Amino acid sequence: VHRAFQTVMGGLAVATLCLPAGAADARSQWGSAADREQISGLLARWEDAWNTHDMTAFASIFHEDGVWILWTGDVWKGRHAIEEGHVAAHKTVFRNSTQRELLEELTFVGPGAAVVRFCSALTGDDRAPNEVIRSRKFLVVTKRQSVWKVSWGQNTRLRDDVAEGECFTKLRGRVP
Amino acid sequence: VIRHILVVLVLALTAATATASGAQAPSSVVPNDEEAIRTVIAATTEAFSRHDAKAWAAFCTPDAELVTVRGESMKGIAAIEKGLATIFQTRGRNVTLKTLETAVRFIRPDVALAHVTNELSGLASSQGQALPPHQELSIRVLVKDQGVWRITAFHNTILQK
Repeated sequence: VHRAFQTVMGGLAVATLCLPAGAADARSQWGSAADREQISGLLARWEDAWNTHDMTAFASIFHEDGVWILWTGDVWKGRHAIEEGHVAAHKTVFRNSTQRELLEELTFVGPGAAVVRFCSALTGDDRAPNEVIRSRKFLVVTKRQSVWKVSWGQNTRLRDDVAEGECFTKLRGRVP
Repeated sequence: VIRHILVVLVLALTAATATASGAQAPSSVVPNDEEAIRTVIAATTEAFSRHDAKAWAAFCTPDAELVTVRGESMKGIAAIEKGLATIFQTRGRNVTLKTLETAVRFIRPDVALAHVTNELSGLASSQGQALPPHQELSIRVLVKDQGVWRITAFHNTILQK
């Protein structure tokens, strides 16, 4: 019995070592190159869908139960609402708009969950056709059945007096 | 006795495998976790109202990022503390914050997301004129590290209505 107990305790020690390290250390280890590529690809799809005004493609970036909070603070819940809301906007104020995106930050917060922040420049808004509208967008992306999509997202527009920063400086070269 | 020990070993290995693979279900959230998160959120509101940037930043992970309603970005505890202190010394000299609504959900047992609606009063414009109160909606991602919940991402948006 004593020998068996020693064996079991050895096994428990191994099991403990298999547990993830502290969260701070683990965060840097979560997410493979393939995960990063797929998440970065969401931004490319975002930009393509917006600029071709294909709101079905745009909404497909979100999970079925995804949530999007607009820069106005309005909340659109569910992929269907996100698509319908954007369809309406792209028939009117955004019908001639172009949006450019650039990844600012991608941080894994656990296996299958990451936080994404990107800077965005919008031109061609019918209400302000000559303005470049800058915003910071925030996404919580999650992996379900091997596919990364947006679970929650939120948009904040920059005030005119807020400094550009590196992301917007880089993005500016791509704004039409 | 050996059977009991083997059962313990199997359970331990199962738990370790589940944790390592990220296969934990949110149902394994400890009941007190939501309460702990709500306490952190309430504490940040209090720290903001007493203009204590250091106390606010202490609720963040070292690599936390914060985006204000104006779209300003702060990365890391030091930058967040400095950024908030600047607000309290300038346009936020007389601000008070009140939490109106908090919703918490768990992505994983050790990762949570909170939507917090606050009302901010006492803000001044860059010209020093008093501004009316406004409501703002923040999304916050919190992670549990060594039993403590901390904010790792904070993104704020002003409510236009």
